[in-house]
Amino acid sequence: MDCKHIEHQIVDYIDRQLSAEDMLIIEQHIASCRHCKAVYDDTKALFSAFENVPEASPSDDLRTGFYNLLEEEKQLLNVKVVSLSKPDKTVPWKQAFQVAASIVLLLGGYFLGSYNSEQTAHQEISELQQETMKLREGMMLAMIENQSPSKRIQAVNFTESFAKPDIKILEALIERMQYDGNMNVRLAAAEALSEFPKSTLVKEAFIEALSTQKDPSLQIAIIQFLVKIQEKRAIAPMQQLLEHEDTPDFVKAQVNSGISEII
Amino acid sequence: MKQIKRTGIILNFIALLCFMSSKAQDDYTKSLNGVTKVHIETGTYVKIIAGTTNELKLTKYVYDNDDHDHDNCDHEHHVECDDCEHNNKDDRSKGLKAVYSGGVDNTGFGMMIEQEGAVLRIKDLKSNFQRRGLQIVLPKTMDIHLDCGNLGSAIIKGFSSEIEVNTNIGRIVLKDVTGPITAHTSTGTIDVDFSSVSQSSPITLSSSTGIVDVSLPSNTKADLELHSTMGTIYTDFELQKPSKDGMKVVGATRKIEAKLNNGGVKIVLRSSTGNVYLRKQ
Amino acid sequence: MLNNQQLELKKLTDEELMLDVSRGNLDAMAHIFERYNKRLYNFYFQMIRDKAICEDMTQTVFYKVIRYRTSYKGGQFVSWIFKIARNVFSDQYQKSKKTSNNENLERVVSTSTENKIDRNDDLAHLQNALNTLSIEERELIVLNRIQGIKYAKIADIVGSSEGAVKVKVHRIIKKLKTVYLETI
Repeated sequence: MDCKHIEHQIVDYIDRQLSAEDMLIIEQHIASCRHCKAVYDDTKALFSAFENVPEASPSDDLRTGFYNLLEEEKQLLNVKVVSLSKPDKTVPWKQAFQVAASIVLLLGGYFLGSYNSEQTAHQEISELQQETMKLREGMMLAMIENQSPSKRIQAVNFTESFAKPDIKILEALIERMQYDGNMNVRLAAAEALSEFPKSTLVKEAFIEALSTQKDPSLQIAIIQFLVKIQEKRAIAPMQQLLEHEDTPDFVKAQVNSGISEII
Repeated sequence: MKQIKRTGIILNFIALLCFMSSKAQDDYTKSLNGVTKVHIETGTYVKIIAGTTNELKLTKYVYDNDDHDHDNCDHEHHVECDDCEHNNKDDRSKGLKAVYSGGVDNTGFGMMIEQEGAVLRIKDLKSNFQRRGLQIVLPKTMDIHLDCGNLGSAIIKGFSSEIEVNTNIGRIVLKDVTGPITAHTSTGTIDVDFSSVSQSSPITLSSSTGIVDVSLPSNTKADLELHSTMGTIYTDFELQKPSKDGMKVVGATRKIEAKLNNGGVKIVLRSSTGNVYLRKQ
Repeated sequence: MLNNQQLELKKLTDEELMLDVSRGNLDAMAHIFERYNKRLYNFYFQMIRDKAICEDMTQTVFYKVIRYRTSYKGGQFVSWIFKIARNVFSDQYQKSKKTSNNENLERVVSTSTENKIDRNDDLAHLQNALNTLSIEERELIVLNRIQGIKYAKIADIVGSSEGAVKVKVHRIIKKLKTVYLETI
């Protein structure tokens, strides 16, 4: 073996990953070749530096956090059926809707005016904005079941302004995506939900929707979301779509490119 | 060629005769007092036009020149006249009632009509094979929800109310409308001519594989959202792009967001594989 | 009874424990946490020297393991959990690139030695050398040299082949040696 070949094997030699025979050859070579001895020493020095990297310790917060999490999850196991009960405030909200709408409009106008002219009253505004947000959440829930699809889409679009939507809002959106009678409402809901990729609830809903929704536009929206968040569990239902003869070719094309991006 | 034309004319003539002779039985009229929305479920091609009275009127489909301009023959013209046959059979069915699987015919028109609150539900009991075309007259301001089943298509003209239309393969043509409009078709084309654009709530038009073609008055105020996954988006509007932090890219979807005339009601046009056309009137 | 179960669990392999978890025995999850939390935390800590972010990411990994427990279908547990860990890292990394007020991750990544530079010269040199690597290179070398994970498993984790990983790791070692020995 020449030096170049030996050099290549130095790492494996140190790691003892070679056959006994090769180990011996290299041992003898190093003993007699100054160049390779130097390579060996350098590598060994680097490795010992690695070995001396001290182990860092996480704080107790990690452990506390984990056990809290585990406890929550255990409780979820006990409550198997999470009922999608409608918010009990639905009825008063519907009545208060007109009032709420006008208040939001007024506040909205006020914000725009004052925000543009002077940005000093920032603090007060943010408080008011929180109020508005609550109103908007209420309006969204009140409007989401309106018989007009256009109004339902409007309700769905309201969520664009929600940074951290309430779970009720997410559930309402998911219900729309899965079951709304109008395809455009479902599409709008899917798109609105895509803005919350961190939510487990949302991810679960998209995975379920992948095997239940039949409309190609919606399928594509769902696939794109799942690919974007690198959801591995989407691979199996995506493969099923490929096997299904009803799946249009352009959806299959999306599935294929999607799968290759997730894996 | 001449031969075909002549046959066409003759068929047309027969159709006209049939239409005139059977007119009395083919019409169904109902007052719409207390109704703000009409929900129609059918499997055939439908034309809905605006009338002057506060009444619902159902008739056979009547072709006019407009249909030819805007229709690439989704409908089979001039061919059918099953009522001629129907008239001959009348003797046999005398004293008997037609029975349908979908519900009870309470109109004598093969339709079931029910009122739920302010909504009037019209359900076509005849299948796509039994009924060839349907024309409906409604007041200009009546909200409309039309589902055209698997094979039906829709033409709606002259309404200032909210319209919801869904078809599977059939084309959707809306003329002289204002919105709000929510329309979806799986493989059909959507053509919409707005006379003006209502600012009240969003307009959404989507086709999975078909073309979406919309024309708007040039002074329309709107927040536009144009999507096409695999098709191309065409427009002669000058699109003002929103400021950078307002730009969003969702997945691989090609989405264009822009404001028309400083913004207004949201208009979403979407096709997965078809092109999207947005025209200035 | 409970003690018995605890004892039993202790003896199980990672794979057996995780299968147990995936079938709904969440108590087994505690053992997995105890076996892996330091390891994952240290993996992150070698990538980014920011305790808070590293704890956060470690926490997220366990959260995902619990949430997606049913997606574990056997197979090397180390590879599975490190795959999740990598995804969590790349999410965090992408996020930090996007959000303006959290650009610190990028900075932390590139200046990670400054905190503890004086404590140990060798260590400091190593950190310096590591800093010259790309994120991908650093990940490979950390997995192999600090976490002691074999090439085949790394290949499984990063979605590559054993041969390719080995070639890359050897190349990185060569590169590191030069930098490390220059500065020493």
